[in-house]
Amino acid sequence: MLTVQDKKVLLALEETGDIQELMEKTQLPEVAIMRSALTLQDTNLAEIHERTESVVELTREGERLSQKLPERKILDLLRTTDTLDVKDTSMDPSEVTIALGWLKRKGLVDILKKDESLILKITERGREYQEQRLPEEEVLARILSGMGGDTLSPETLKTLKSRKAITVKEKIHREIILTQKGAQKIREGIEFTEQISQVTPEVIRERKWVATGFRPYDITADVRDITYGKRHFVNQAIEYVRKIWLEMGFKEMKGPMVSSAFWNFDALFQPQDHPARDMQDTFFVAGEADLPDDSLVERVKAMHIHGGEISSTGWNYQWDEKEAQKLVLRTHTTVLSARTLAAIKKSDLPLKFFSVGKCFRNEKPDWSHLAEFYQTDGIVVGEGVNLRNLLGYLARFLQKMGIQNFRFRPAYFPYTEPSVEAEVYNPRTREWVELIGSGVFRPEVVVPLLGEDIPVLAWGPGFGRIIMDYYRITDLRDLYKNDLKQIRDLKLWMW
Amino acid sequence: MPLITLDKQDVLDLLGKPISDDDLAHNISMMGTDLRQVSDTIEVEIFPDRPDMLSTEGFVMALEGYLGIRTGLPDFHVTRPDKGKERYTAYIDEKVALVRPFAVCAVVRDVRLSDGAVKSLMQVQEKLHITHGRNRKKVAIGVHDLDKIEFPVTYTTRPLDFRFVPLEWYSDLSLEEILTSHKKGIEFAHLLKDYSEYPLWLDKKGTVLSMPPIINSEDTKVEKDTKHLFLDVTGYSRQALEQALNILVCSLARRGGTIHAVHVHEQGKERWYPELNPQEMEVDLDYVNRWLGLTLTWEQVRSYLERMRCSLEGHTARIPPYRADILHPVDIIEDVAKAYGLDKMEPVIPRVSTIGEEDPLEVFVRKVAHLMNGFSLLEVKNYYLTSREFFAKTLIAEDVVEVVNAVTAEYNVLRSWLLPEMLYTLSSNKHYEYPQNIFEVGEVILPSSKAQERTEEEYHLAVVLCHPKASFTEAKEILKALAQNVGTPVTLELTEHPAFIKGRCGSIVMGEKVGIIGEVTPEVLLAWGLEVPAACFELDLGKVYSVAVAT
Repeated sequence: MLTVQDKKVLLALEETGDIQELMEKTQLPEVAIMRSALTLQDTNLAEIHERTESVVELTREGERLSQKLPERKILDLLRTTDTLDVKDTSMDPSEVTIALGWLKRKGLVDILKKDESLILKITERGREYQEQRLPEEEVLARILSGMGGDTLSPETLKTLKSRKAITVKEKIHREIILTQKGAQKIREGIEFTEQISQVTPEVIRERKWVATGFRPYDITADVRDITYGKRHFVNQAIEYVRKIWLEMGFKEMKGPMVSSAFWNFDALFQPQDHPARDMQDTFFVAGEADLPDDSLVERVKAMHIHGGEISSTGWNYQWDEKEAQKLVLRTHTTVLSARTLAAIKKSDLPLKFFSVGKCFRNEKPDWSHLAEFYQTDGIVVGEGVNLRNLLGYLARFLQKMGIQNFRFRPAYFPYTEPSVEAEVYNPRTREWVELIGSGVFRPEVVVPLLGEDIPVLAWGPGFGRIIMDYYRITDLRDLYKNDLKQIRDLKLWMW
Repeated sequence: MPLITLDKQDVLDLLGKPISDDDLAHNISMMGTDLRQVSDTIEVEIFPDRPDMLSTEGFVMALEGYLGIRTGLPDFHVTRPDKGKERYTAYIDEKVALVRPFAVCAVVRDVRLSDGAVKSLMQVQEKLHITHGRNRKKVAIGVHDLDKIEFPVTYTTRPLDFRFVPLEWYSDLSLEEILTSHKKGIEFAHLLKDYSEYPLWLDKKGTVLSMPPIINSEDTKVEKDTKHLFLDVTGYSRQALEQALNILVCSLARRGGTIHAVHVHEQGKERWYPELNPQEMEVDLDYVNRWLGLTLTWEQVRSYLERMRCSLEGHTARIPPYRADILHPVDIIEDVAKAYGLDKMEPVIPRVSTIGEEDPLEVFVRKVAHLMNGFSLLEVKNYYLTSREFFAKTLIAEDVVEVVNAVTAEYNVLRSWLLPEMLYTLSSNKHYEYPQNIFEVGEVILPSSKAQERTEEEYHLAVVLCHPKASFTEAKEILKALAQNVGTPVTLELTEHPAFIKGRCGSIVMGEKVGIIGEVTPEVLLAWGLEVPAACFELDLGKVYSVAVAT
């Protein structure tokens, strides 16, 4: 079905096929004319003819050369003499070099060396060209007189291009030609009643469509990308991780990101001279924390020094309260597990807790490291839970994260014994990759906090790598680059 | 964790049995070390609780047990002469108490210093220094040619002008010069800072053995044809020294060396070193089974412990003298678990009935985030660590929590507002079309003198509307809709803040003051390279939530 616009263009085609003239006649913009032209072409009423045309334009250098070529200057000097010493040309030396190059190449002069000087001797050919234009001069003159590119010698154009005298551009020239069918259609007469394009309240109210019908749309046409609201993909993944634990009956733990070294390290039985407490790995914050109540500090201290009241040797060193008061950005969310153990009562057991939170490592970020990252800790506290149960929870978590090929191997953490690392197989590198640090909390951790040696299963995986794999992101930093298009375009976390 | 490199052929020779690379890789991982690769060399990370595995020999002693080639407690015999017939005597001078108080030593004879043995000895010494020895501070080791020493030897101190020829030097230097001129002296000078005399080991003739923890002497250095060794270990923790000494002598003994005791006189006390009696620990079978979720018999526990190079006598585990990691019976349990094989342990989820519960503020935040999506706002997610410069650019002068030792200036403060990083987000998305209407939810950290940790966290929501027609009104409309949805009326009180245009900035009151709303000043926008207007609000969702649940 032709629109009114299409019909206007069709009528105008009787008189002209030139786009500019069509624009004047129909008072339509170029895009509208081209759109109608396409419709007319599709319905065989018109054809769009395209031809490309080269347009040659002089550059600055070209304008200069068209006044006089350097080789012409020398030919002119040789009009009254057969030979000429290069020194006597009184031309710019760089121009002389160019001139000599071309004169030699075109065989217009012979160049003789005599002592220290170069002597130019005009050839027969040179004499001829003193009387007529060189090819470049011919073409430059034609360009100046406005002649088109297609009429000029291609070879000379090439030379001029190499002399940076001209630029050649392709220009597409379109013309719309009425077909026989189109002419027939015009002869049959064209009706200008318009079909309804937009449904408006007025159209509905006044039943306007009944007479004309609706114009059909091209439903295959592309539409623009819209802007819309959406949750950040990392938060979508976090939601899922939270859901895994909640579905298994875990209760959420929360706590501050700035922590005393006491909670971050000492309560987890990390000796004060442990390398992990080093300045290099840990962000420190100015100031000193208040420690929790004295009896808890005393119990932790005794555990470090001599193993407290249980059958442990402890670490056998001087424990310094000042060291425990240092403020750090928590290096793991396991600090929340320690705080929770200190807060719960034995009578409430069994209990299961989880957390999802940021942890910090003082590292320069690169593709595989960030200075801050998410970790999800879990603890299960209760008489009768055991290492196989720990493996059970880890296996379930891994399966829920879409990981099938994993294994458990021994590991070491100062606060768990036994310690277990869950590893994922990377078939591409054929390596096992560490994913979850876990273990059963040592009695040296549990007894001072909870008051009794009860098994506590504990784990704390990061899951940045799983998110990366899911979204096929290869640089960890791209999780937080906040590219609005990336956030919008990444598919949903489907679980 | 220290990474060590072992010569695979050397390891196989010590094992005395060919093992395929796959078997090696699997068993090395499963016995409790972090394998990097097996080829002509074995690269493995040793966990910090097992310094005994830093030497090839120590590693082999563990592996041959795990593979079942040689199991049970290794036998280390220490030759100890009768009283009066002591060959090797050492004196510990009380002067060292102020500088580097403890020292232990031992003699190992008839060592065959093959290439493998020398490499291993150098590697274990270096790695022990770094890890177990905390970079020589806690423990420093010296190894000497026994034949170049005349007993008794003395561990004492000398003034700084005392001279000797240190290892890798062509002439004698004073102790002071060693710290300023010798490579090792410069590297470890801080360990002797401010002392008026430095520690030294001397023999009967006055020959210097070593200057702990810096450098050995040229006079007693170990050479290719050295047959017998004297080992000295000095430091601040007697327990750590004894562990290091035991690791060294047991490693050398594994290669065929014979261990000889040194009679040490220390402030009136007499001791014999090395002391290689096995550590003992009671095993409670019920505790083992409860902890592991298994039903092992005593016989099984015995065989597992033997594969970990322990033995079981009655209900007592006897632990090799080079192990430094057995603090509590759970450490024995872990050895049982490793020998059993974590890969063979069947995972099982227990019937522990508990009820899942989410933090209520987290629930509220999620609902608010979904509401923001309904307003066509896109969620962004920035770091907690940010740069002080971000706040300066945004004309926010309020106090922030500073990180004192960040490796990069990009991260020297913790965010106290979400707005600065969101403006950064907008500045890095300028090539995309507008509107760019974004929001973020997340904790911010504020200084607080009252709190135990000197900081307080708030859970913020910030909305930034950025497009050519963004206005205060549009931001207020969203705020109004939010208030409507949490069931709490909102009012605004005119206020001033440098980040916002004067007269277009208000405190958000929902029961109490919960945040701020305004149009961002062009100064701030230009500072961020933005030429598109932005209207914004930021508020404390924790406060909003308390008000909302109260009404």
